[in-house]
Amino acid sequence: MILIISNIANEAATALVDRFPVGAASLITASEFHASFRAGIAVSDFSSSGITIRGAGNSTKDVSGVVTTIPCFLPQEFYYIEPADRNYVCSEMNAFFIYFLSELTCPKLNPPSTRTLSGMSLQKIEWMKTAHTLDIPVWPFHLKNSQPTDLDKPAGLHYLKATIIGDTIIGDHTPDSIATTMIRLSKAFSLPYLSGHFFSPDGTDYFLSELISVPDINPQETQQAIVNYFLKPA
Amino acid sequence: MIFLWGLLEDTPMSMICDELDSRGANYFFLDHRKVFDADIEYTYSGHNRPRCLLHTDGQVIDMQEVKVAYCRPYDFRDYPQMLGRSADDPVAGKAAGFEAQLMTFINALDGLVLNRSDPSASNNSKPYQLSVIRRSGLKIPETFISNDSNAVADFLSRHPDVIYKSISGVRSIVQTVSDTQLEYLDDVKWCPTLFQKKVPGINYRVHVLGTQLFAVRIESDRVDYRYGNTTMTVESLPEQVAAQCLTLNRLLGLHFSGIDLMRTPDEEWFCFEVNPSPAFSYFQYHSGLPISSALATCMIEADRSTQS
Repeated sequence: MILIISNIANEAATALVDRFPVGAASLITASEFHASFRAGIAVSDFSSSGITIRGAGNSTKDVSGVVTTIPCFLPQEFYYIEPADRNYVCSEMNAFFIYFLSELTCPKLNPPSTRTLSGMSLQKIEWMKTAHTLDIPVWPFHLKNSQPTDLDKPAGLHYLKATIIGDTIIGDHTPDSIATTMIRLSKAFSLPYLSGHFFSPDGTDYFLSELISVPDINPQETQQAIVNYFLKPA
Repeated sequence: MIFLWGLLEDTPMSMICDELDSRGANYFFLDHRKVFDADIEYTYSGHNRPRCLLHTDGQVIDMQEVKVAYCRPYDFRDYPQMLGRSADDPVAGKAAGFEAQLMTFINALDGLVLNRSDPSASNNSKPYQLSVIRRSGLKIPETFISNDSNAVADFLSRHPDVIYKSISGVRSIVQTVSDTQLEYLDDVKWCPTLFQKKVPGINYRVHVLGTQLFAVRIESDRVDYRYGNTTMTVESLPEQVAAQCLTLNRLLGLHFSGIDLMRTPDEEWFCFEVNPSPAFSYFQYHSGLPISSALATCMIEADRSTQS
């Protein structure tokens, strides 16, 4: 069973579920949680715990993969909770899922951290340190109170986006150097999914400008790469 | 430079400041309320090392000089500046942006940060933290989380003496499950709820600072001793428990923490949770343990070591 954690408005999440063989993947959203998800989790013995998704009972051991398309649930998604209690329920649900997803031993496209349901959630100041350690050049930037301020960009700047899913690089014209960079970053952060944005003044030497661990699952190519990642033979 | 960020009305912070003042230590204190009018800038030119400047009250602080940090941020939405303003008000946006960037900078600092925000976030998910506690070798109470009333009823039938509390870091009063709560058991369907077998015994609070331990025995007339008549006595921990507390602090990536333990009549030691930014002043006041002094020593020594 592959769990796709998303929100009800993300149609691509439903499409991603449909790309898997029938019954192999399930969508989990805050909006349907009360009706579709039941859990009984023994913290001292997680592997013996059970979950029921849309009426079908499973052991936590039956979860074979996780894709999370959101950094966290939002209070407004809990429309069935009294407005005064939504913030509390939302905090509780995020705390529960950070634990639940952390304990699952199956492959996760973007494993949770203590701060987020999906991936590292590092800000530029933080991931830049790792990039420097790996000698990956970073595009100049300026932040004021977390707001990016555009520095002067030379005319004719080249832009490139590259996404790694497992050992697959998405994109037709990704230079080998960028592909290598994405593989090194994916390993350094232990994240099978990462999306990198790059700038180059001359179209040859590219500088990392942004690094994102929350997957954009809208492109069909990305959806298929995710399916392949989980269904590839061990 | 030692950097402190918080409120002087917050006793742990004022105790640290008093200690540093009494020793003539050089530090910079930033009032947390400055989130509304201070600015923080971070520049990476691509060539030189990054530069981070804090602008406040006409001063410009070079944040790259910060080698030691201790932060106790509060919720700025509770400040008078936010009265009548919504969360999406530009004033709130500016404050949140300032706070996020400063926290990020501190989190990424190479020096000594007593309570980095990333490891501290383990406190936002109690079961996640319990899982780490188990890895340290300390026992955890039998804990069950569910949004299924039948499964909860089954757990309660096997463990009649149970408390419940929040899963997240939202502060909640720990309560015993009573007949009254049983009438509302169906309500768990709206939100997973954490139930925990009550462990009889004596409460201990251990503050870990690097390799130092400060342990107090706590006796109270309430399940949650913070809300009862409480007395505290300084005590040493058994060697193994002390080692497990040090391991736990390290596993969580913390330098300073407050660990809640229970010693049972059978001499078993259980751990309930770890506070990554403990209000140690309460325990220092009741026990006389020199925690603020040790914190100040630790900060001064770490700052000096970066200068030599």
